[in-house]
Amino acid sequence: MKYHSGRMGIAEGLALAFITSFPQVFLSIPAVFAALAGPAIWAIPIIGGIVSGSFLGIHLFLLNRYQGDLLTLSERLLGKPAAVIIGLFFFFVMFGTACLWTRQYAENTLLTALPNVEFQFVILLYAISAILLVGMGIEVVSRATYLLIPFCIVGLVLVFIGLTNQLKPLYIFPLLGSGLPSFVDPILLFVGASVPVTILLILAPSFQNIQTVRAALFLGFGGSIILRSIANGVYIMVFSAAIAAEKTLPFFEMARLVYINRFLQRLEALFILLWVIVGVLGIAACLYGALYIIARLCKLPTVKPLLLPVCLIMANIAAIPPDAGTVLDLGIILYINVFSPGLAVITLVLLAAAWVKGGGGKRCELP
Amino acid sequence: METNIFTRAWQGLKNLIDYSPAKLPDPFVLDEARPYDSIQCQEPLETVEEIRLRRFVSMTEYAGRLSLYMEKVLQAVKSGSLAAELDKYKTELLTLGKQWEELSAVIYSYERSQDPAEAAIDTSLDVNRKKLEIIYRIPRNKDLVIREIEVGKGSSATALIAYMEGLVDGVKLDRFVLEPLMGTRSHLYEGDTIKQLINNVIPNGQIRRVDTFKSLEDGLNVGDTALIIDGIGEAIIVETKGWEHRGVESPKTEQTVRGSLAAFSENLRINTGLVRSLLHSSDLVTELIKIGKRGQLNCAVMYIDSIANTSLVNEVRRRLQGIETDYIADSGQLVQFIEDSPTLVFPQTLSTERPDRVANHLVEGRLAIILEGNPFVQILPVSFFSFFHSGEDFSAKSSITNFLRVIRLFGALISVVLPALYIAISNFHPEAMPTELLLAVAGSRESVPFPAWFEVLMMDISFELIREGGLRVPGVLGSTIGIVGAIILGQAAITAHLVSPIVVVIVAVTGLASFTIPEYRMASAVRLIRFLLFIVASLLGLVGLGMVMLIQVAILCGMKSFGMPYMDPIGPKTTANYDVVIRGQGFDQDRRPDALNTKDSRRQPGISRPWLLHSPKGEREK
Repeated sequence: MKYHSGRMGIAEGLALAFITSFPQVFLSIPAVFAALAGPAIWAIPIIGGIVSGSFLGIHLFLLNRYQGDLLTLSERLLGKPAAVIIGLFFFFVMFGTACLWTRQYAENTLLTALPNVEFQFVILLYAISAILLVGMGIEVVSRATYLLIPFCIVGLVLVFIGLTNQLKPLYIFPLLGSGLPSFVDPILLFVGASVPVTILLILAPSFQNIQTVRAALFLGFGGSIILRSIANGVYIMVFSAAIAAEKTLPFFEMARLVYINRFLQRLEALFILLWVIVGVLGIAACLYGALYIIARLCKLPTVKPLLLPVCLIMANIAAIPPDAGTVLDLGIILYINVFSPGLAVITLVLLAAAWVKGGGGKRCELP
Repeated sequence: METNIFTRAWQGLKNLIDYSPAKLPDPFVLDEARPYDSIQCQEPLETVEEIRLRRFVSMTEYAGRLSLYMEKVLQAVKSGSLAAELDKYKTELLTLGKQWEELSAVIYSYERSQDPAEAAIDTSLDVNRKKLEIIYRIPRNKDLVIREIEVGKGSSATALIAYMEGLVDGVKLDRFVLEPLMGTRSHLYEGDTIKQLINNVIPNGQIRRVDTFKSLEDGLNVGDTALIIDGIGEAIIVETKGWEHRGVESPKTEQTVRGSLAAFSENLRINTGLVRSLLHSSDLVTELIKIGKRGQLNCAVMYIDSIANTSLVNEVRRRLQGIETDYIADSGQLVQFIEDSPTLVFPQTLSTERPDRVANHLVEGRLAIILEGNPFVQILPVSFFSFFHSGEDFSAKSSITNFLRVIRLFGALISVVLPALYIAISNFHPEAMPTELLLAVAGSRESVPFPAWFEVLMMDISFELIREGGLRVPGVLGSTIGIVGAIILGQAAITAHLVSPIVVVIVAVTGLASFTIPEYRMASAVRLIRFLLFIVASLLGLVGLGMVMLIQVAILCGMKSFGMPYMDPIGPKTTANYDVVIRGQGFDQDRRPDALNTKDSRRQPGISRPWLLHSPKGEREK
């Protein structure tokens, strides 16, 4: 298998940006946002998106000047050891996210669909499905995602429309919750959870040009932010902040409340198809990012022999935490304390290095 | 060293630890068209004007030298000194001859640069033959037959006979063209030879004289025979049409209410003729390739040279020529030898028995493969959505076509997921069913001793048995047995409490939906996947169903049909023409499919009905 993918376009990039940032909607993160920001959770994706977008914008600016991908950019600006460290950080982000999502989706599956199945088996199911997709290559993952995004959006919109008779607009007030200081942690959380979007920067040479990456990020990540903001808004307007903070599976609970008439109710089961597909695609994209980075760092000709071991390692790591609560706490810690500061530091260091080396931000001549 | 179990084990372990990827060439990807691939492009050192000027100077210099030489010879003859200076003049003549040879290349390249179709018929038979070979891409194209004959007893003149194999009636050609020509005692070249042949020699009602290759082509492409006499700058077109049509047989598996009713037969040349009878294009090329070491079957590759991507044509030719086997019995088997992913269940070529469909796809820039002795023609490359198009789509109104296409796709979806969805919901998520329906299902299942999955499996297999059995029973009896068998079997199974009525309904709807897929191989693939999804849904419910569906979609997204992405124009996203799911009106279909990367991407101008821009003639006259 060649892990260097071919030329991808805006559609593939858009799909990748969407699928690496959107699967959080089906997990417990909206409930965490509700606990931290109260009724203002609709604003978290927007403000967090602007912060994340700023970091991504800086990377795009640097890539536009120096060309290559995030790893070659790091090597050129900071040297090989620093590039390895940065590579390892992003590997950790991708692989960590894949492990977290695997466990969280497995827990969701156990709660909603397969209560009598051994949880390690469900974890293995997710891991095997994801690794099969990874084996087919990132182009396939992104094209399949692009094909399925409309169904995902239509499904979400149907749930939102189905909930219109249960919305209580007053729940969203005060619009800014407890005030801007209460936004810090949720925004850090959001930014940290969005770091896997950097897969586009890591795979930048696989796209037609940097403008393609920019457009894909704008459309994919931007679309994901808008949908997440709407989802959060609907969530809070249906349950109120206090109850919303207590829910384990926000989307599932929302779908459960849909009541059109006595023949069209309790449709939450049908949406299992939707979030299982989104979850597997998200895990596959992150896993591909992790494998790509490790193959690049170790200069491996192929990632094929790594697929099975990585699949088993991921499944085992995902099975370590004793319960779903621990996984959620671990995720919050990683997002707030490791992923988002890491992204910020790397971005600023790279920018500073470019400033110093590039003679006040002037374009460097390529060797 | 001799290999044994230990050496093999050691080698296996070594390979496992020291893995290196297999060194395979990159897979073929259908890239942008490069129509002049075969021409070695070099950086021009001179501009075109400079080259023309240089050639003009050379020609005038040569003309000057020649006239000077002739004047000298004339003077020598007059003065009587020719015999003495003969050697000198001979040497000079040889030099002039060499110079002429060099200039001939210039003249030849000039003639080559002109469109031969626009040229007038030459008096030289060789020149005419060469021009015909250029126009019809000979020797690649095997459809045009060019034969040299002696006209009249005592060989008074040499002539060329040209006709399209498969389009002409052999009897007409022999009795009304060749026999009279070869047996005539007329003295040619006395007066108007063409008139003499038309009036006195060739006994044919429809006969005409032409003087350009354009008119010659028009005749040849519709099955007429062309006769070119040496030394005469005109040709005779004799009506010899005689391709197989209508009487051949009507399609068995692609029946339509409207559209052509002709189908391919087992004869290769009749099949190529059927396509050519619908597509009177001079650059429609039929290449013949021998397949099978012992079978030596002819395989025709048809394409329109000015549209089809050169690299695609080369790749298909390479793959066909690269087959090493004794015998290939069927075009389906042939495709397995050349397709990109033969192990995957989805078909990668479109199989059709309708010449009109082949012609339509050739115009889009695709290729057709016709195997001798097989009435099914393979069209390639194709996308997933091509399999949901039917022969009728081209003749029906676009709104009707679109409705039917959506129905077909919906039918395919139902056919794939319905049994699996029923099992997943009834076994794992009964709460998703409306209460009344749930109670009805539970009530009907009360007397059935088997689990739901077993019921569905039993009925599904019974349905497949009826379908397969019905195919084997000859004639009308087959379908009758199928219908009667299904009704009786279903009713009996319900009465015997083997299955519940809801399962019979589900299996019947599924079976019916699967018949909406027009392509048999795609319908078979869908049936197979249905069983897979059903098994997974029985074990893992909606979660398993979602995962396997996703993997199926990913497989489809990763597939290629002869270098073209299978899920085009969605994965990857390309510019869709108006004939994917939604088919536009004929006049809206300006472009050919983007992914085919054809040499000429436009099918028609943006405004294909310019008459709309003009006022009616009657109005103008007012």
